[in-house]
Amino acid sequence: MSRISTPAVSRWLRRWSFSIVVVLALAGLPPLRGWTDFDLLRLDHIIALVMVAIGLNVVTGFAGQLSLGPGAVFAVGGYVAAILAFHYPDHVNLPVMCAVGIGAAAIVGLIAGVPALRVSGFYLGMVTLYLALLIPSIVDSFEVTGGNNGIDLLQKFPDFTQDLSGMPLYEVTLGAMLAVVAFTGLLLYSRVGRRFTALRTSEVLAESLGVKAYRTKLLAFVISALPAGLGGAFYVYSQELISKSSIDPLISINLLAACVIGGFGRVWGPVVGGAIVLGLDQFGSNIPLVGERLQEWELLINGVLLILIILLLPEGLVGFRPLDALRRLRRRGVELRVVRFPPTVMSSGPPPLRRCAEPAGVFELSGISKRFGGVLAVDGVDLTLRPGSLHALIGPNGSGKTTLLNVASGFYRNDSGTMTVGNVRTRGGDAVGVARLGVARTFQTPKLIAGVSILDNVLVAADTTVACTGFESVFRLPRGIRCHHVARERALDCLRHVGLEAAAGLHAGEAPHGTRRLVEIARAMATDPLFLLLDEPAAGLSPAEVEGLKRMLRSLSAAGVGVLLVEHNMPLVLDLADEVTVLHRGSRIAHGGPAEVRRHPDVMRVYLGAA
Amino acid sequence: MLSDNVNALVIGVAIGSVYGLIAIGYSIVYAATRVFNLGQGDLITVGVLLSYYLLVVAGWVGLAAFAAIVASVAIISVIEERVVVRPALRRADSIGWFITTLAFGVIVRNIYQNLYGNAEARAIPSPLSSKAIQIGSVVISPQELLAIIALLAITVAVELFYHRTWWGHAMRATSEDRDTAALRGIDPGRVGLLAFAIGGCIAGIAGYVLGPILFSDVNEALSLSLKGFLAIAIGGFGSIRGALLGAWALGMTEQMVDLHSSAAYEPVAGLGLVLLVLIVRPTGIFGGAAEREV
Amino acid sequence: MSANGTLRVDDLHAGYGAIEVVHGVGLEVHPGETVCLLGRNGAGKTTTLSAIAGSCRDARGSIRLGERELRGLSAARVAGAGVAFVPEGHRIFRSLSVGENLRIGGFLRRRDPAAISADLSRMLELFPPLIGREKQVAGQLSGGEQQMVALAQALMTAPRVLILDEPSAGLGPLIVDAIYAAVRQLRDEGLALLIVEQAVERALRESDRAYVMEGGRVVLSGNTAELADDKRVAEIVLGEPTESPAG
Repeated sequence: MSRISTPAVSRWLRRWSFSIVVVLALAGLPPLRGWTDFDLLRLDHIIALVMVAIGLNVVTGFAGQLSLGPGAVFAVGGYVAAILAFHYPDHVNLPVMCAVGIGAAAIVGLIAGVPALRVSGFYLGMVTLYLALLIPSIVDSFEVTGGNNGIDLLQKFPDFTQDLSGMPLYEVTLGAMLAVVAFTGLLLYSRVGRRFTALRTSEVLAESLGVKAYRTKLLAFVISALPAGLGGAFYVYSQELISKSSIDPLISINLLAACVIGGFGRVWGPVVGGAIVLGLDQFGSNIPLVGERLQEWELLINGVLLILIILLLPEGLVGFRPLDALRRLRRRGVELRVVRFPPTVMSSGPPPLRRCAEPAGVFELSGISKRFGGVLAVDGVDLTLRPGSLHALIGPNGSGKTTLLNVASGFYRNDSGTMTVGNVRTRGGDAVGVARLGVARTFQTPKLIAGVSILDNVLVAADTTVACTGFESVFRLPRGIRCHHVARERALDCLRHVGLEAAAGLHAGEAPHGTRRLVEIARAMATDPLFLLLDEPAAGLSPAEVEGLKRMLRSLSAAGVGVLLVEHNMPLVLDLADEVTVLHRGSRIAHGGPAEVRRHPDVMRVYLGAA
Repeated sequence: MLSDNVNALVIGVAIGSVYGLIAIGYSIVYAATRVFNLGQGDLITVGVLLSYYLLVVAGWVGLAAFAAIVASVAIISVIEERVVVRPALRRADSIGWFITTLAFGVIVRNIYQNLYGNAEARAIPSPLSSKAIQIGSVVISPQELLAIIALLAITVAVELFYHRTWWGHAMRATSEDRDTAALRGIDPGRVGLLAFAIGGCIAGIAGYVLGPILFSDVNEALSLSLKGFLAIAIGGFGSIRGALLGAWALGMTEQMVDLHSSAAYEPVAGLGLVLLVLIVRPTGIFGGAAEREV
Repeated sequence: MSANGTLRVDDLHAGYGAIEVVHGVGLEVHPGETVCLLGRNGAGKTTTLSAIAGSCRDARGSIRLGERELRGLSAARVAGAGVAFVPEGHRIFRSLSVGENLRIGGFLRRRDPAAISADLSRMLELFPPLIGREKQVAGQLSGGEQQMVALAQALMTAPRVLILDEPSAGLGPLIVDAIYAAVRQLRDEGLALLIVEQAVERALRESDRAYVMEGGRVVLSGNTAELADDKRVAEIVLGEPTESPAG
């Protein structure tokens, strides 16, 4: 009947309806309800803090670095803006305060990010929480910050906010917050956001793609500081006051609560959670009958909410899908399902690789040793990986294959020996450096970014092959858009090559094991590698899939890639490999062509345990 | 001037012992469960306020009050383990416990703050004489001396427990490899419960010892929690000796900064010390070296 | 011993998260016999073992020891019921001493110190290289010695069934011989042993019966004497007949 309800429109509605409702509610509610200036002031207060929560969401929700620092950054941004306004009232207006607040915040964000270079997890959370605790006692003891009384702009300049107040101020504040929300939305779905989510999944994964973990972490801290500084400036401008009680460390905990309740990692999470937590804080006393009590027990209510959300809805309110939860509840306990994914047809045609077409040198490992405590896991092993050739590394479990692969890909520091790629000397322990020389790898237990699509998992690798800045990508500048298309095409090509094009849009977290391995191979291909290190790619694949894998691996080496195959599947190895190295108890016991190796008496002995 | 320095260092050890009493509670829980109990500071405050209530308001005698405090705080700690920690641990690879223990602390704090009301922080009588002891040029109050002794006594007791008892062995084994310990019949849930019970007892003892030093202040908990954390970050996670030495190092650094510059820089000095340790040795002085996992 | 000590697994389905890896495995291990479980990597052997030991709780089907149902019990309870599992990669408590590592295996019998010290000296008889090393920190031992500690620790729980996942992985031939000598002795004393082993010939030589897994199912089973001549075993485990004309 109606042509409007086409799938495109309903998709559009599903995607945007939430944003539209929130924006309309926020913009429309106060004028409709005829709120007083005092109410608006409290709304301004909430929105300023929500901006800080949005910053927290970037660093913790997107990039996975547990930080309670944005509270401290908010304080610094606010104080710097207030001090400036206090001393130069004639030259300082809202835009200037915002600029100053953001600038100061960026610097503090950088400082707050420094501990993150050494530690992570809850440890980082504690250090940054201490930072939030530190700021109030610092401002307490200096004159420039007004000591215990803080900086009271209203007292000094009664007409301070003259040019903007009441409803217009609320609208501007709201506009700023929406701009910040839009920014984080753009950020999340840009190459920067993809790097953040890769970092969140695993630092090891990020580094295997040539993404410098420390630089990405610092970037996350700096970006998260910007909205916090902006919030600080808006706070000072609207409240005309900043003091020790404005920056109580409890605020940091409230902000954490806001993000948890709304949902970390969701663009609207901090706004929804902030509305609940901070709304209760500011307007709880307005509620008839229970208002006063509510205020008294606010912390308790927040605490209980936090615990309930973490235990029952770990994705937060925004991420909560009632239908999925119901399904989960029904499936609870021991019932398992066999996930069906689109059938996989791997390609044996030319792979979408360019770099390896040009002649490159060999990847040479010589005399590599690695020791763990009393165990010598790899003992003076030599291995040469030639372009366009397939080198299999075999040996019984515990023989040191994966350890050697971890040294070769730069994750373990070798105790002795040398590594060169082409004629560039490199070393174990420098994963990013090795990756950037064109060495890509997969993991024995695939590391996929959960919560995003299979395509996005490959896209984060394809991003590394296009020349465009994060800025161009976030703000969708022409070059950013062009690069995105190129990277996306490349990612789809790689997925097509492993036979997963049809699954590109599916969630990576639901993929069965075999599919995960193939996604990892596609991701490694997407970095356009010269050398590809595969850790047991055939494990968990069906016999038919193994046949497809064989053809695909041949196509890769035919294209010029040097493939190192760590594998148990002997026939696969004997069939495919140009060269075979056999490890046993950390040492190389045989090396040569497959025919030669299979006749080697030592090889038969370690494989079969023959006396 | 030398005597000032010596005095500051001794006071540093005393203040450090206050941090150490918090840090050791963290350590024993962390070692057994890999959970850093952010509610520990609030548990200690409960101990402090209970000692105010029992000793000042209800007029109990010292020993009875002590037993009641330790038992009540341990019970709260056990409740915490059951209600907020264990359910959070069921979800693998999450730090949900960070938020639930923080929230538990906030809830406990809200309750005692409302019960205590807006009253001023009051002195809590010390079981010892209030007269300062002078040894050479060093002046120290008996209560501070008690904090040092209590910390040393708890350290020795915990080390003996770890090395001489079945449950101590079970706790160390669980700390190192939960799964393998479970395969040998050690229920990680019971180990966790025991750890929280011991952590609660230590918090109760700390509350009793610290009461006369801290007064019945309801706002100290968060800052104390974090000082305890700094001590552990310096000393190394899960190590009892590390907690002790880290706490003393922190206390002495603070007092020296206090003496030679200004009290305003005291908290900054603590953070600086931690960052320094992190740069040199990210796992703390007594923490084991960590190889990254691939 | 009676049927009371038999480990019987029926229609076991197990996996991780939403993904099922083992699809309906059945097997039996009687007291006084060694049974090996063969198959390629990814065939579901380790998942089967973990499900029996209670480490992997996403399982359905039945796992019984004698009359007692073990499925659904926690790992600690399964240990208490008399099943000891030694995972791959000699996972011992590296910061504890060797003596502490062994003694901790007696945790469930801690009220019986006499039995524990008797068993402790038995362990040193079974694994002579550990004699005199009791005070040493376990992490400093060689791989082979660590594996012996892991075995001894498991035996200290006084199990009726001992499950070993790749006991020879990464170890030298002399150590492997020593470990299998201990396995034979334990079997002769009436223990039920279930072993996953990669080296096919060694596994078939050391055990009485074998199950061969592929794709999460048991595809072949029987006496090792018969299976040793069965080409299909090598075909499944190694992928193809090993005596095929080479090159």
